[in-house]
Amino acid sequence: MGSAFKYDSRYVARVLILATLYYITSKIGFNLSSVAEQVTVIWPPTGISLAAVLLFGPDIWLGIFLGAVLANLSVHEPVIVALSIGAGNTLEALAGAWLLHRFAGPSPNLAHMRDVLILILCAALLSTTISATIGTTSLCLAGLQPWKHYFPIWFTWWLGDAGGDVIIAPLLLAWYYTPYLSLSRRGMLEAAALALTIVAYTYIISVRPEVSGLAQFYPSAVFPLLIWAAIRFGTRGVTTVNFLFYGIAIGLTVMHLGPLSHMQTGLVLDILQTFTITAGITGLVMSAAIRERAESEETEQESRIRLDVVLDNIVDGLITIDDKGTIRSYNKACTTIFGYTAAEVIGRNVRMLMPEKHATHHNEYISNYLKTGKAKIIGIGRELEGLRKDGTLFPMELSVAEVKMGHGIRYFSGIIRDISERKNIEGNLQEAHLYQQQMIRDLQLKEGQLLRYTQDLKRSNQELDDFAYIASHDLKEPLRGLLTQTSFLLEDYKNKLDVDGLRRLHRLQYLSLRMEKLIGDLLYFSRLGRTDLAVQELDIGEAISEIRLMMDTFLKERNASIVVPQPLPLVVCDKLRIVEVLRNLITNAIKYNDKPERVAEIGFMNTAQAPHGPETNVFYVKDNGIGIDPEFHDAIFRIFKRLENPAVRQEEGTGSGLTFVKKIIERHNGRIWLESASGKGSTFYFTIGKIDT
Amino acid sequence: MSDDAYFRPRPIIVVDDNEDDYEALTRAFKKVGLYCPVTLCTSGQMALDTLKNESTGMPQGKAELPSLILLDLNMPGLDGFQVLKKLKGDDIFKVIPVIIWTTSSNKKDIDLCYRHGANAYMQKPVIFDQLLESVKRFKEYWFETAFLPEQES
Repeated sequence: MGSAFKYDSRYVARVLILATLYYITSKIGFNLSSVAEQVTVIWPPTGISLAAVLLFGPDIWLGIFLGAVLANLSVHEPVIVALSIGAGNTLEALAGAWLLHRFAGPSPNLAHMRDVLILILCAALLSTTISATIGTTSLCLAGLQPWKHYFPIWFTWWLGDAGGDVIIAPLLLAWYYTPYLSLSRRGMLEAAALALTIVAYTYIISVRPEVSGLAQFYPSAVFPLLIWAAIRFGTRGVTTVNFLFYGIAIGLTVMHLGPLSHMQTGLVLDILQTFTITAGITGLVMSAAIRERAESEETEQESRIRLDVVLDNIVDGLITIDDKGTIRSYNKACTTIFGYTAAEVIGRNVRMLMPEKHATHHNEYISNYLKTGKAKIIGIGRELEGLRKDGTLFPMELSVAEVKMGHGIRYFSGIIRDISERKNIEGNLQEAHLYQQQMIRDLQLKEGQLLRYTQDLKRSNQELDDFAYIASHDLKEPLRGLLTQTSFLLEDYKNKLDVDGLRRLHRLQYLSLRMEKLIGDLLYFSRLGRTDLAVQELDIGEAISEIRLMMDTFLKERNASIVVPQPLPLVVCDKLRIVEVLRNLITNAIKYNDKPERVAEIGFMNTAQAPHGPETNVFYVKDNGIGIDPEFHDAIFRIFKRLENPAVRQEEGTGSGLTFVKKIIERHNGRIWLESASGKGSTFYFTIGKIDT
Repeated sequence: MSDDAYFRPRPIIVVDDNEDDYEALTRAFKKVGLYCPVTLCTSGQMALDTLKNESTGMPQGKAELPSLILLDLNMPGLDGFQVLKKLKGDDIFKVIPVIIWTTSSNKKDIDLCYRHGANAYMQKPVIFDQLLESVKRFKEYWFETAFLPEQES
């Protein structure tokens, strides 16, 4: 499989590179032997191994093992010893990495103190004992070294490995994590200056020790450079400086050059070994400390910026004053509220933001509070007036909190909210409330009126009822008497009266009868308006058939017929009333007719066919009669209105039929109208609407 | 024609304040051959008094009860309803058939009268000929068709 092969090839490459690196650096290391051929004061491969395991995982052990075994074989050791030492070196790296991971997390980058300390304690000092113990023991067991040298060898071994962990591993890790020199131009120059200084410094001290006279301090001379590197270049700088400085120092020593060349090489190397480790640890700790400090400062800065952003973005104004009333902070919202910018107010007394009455006493307020501890506003909050830059006053809500700093310093922080708008709204609300109350009063008044009207209406309805009763009884009674007396007169005095007297009596009788009819009609009309409809479903077609039967004689006498050209629908209505309507219209159609064959046609049409209106369910009664002049189309519906009509004897009707019809139709939420002209016949249209029950 | 009605005619009491109507009625009675005595009471109170015999001084209940009462509704003083209630609430008088004889054709009036025990309800016709017709039917029904309660004596 492609990916597996890829992984394998990369792995193999890493193993081989590591093994090679190990081998080469071990060759350098062996040159630095002081106590035994196989034991060296500084053992870079340990650092390389640790870094490799940390960066590439424990699988890389094979590279370490290979490199170590080969390196040891190259210094004429028996295979068994080489394998043993190789195993020790491998275990050392694995253990160191495991401890670092265990205590410092998955990617210890030595930027933090914690990582540095763990590297020193766990890897450099602790894990290296494995290699030292296994290695020394193997050498002694194999008889390559005498047992009496066990401890010095072990110690040198241990320190050598520790040096590798302290100098080489951090160097590799630091450069691995941040491989790029993302320095500014100035940073570059400074780095170059540092490198140059190292070289010059080393040259002066080591090659021309007589110039400084400080030769014996040479191994410790790295510290100024180390501090410089730590401050300016962090872990990378420190590790690089250490590496370069001691690299050069050790190189010079080995070449029997340098300030200490007069001393025994082995001793110098031992001294250097100690200093290397010390300087390495110091450098790492220092750079981590500086870094952490910088980070915390950065965090502080960041949080201050963030706080400023937050404060500037809150809608409420925020002002901090000290116990003298001097403004210490002033956020953006304040600028909006007061009109002053922060620069205009910071350092000045907060009184400038208050109207005169508060401003003059503000200092007293503060000192009173400081003396008595009695809070008038702190932690309470109240509504006050604020003074804007333009001199206007505005209502604001202020809440103040006290902030106690160290050393007895007190600050007061106030949150200010401009409530003019709210005040406005409150005002408006108040107005609205008043208006509402007024409306309610009006409504109550109207309701009262309505109630009175209703009562009036009820009373007037009652009065109408009473009137109807009065009309029916009290008006009719004397009329009846009149009629009765007239008939008695006619009966009893028939033979004593002359023709003219009799004619007049008959006339009297007729007029009384007519009067009686008119009263009856009026009564009936009023009843039509008042009584409830008895609503039911009515088949208009059937109703016509009934009417035809009822009017049989009437129709026959006049050679008239009722025609229904198409089926008529069912209608919800008051049956008796609608029958009355139909009867009335049919009667009129036949009565006011001069044709030899009188016809009343009753039909029904939908909206599309109906003229003069949007209504559906339009019925019509059409005749071939004498017609009605449009001049009278309205008048015919008026009560007691009769038209002059030669075809009909005047005496016959009271002229209320159509009035009743109209009233009934209106009670059915319908409409009635007509199309007619003199001599052209008439068509009465009417609709029957929905009836509320 | 019933023998009873002819030979032992008991009076009819007409309670009506309108003398024209009364005159028309009695004239109609004669025309249709109803010859029983007719007592006119022009008010409700007078009708009750007549029935209780106070006007004649005879002991209560001993007077001859009328065969029928024709009662007008609209009268001054005690009106027809009140008289009707009193009559129908009285143990002795409640047997007497009361025929409401009025101008009103109001549904409410009709309903109320029957509710209070009226035995019939007739509307006074306006025209004498119609009145005559009504009275004729009245006579045929009450005196030739129906049985009236017998008075215990």
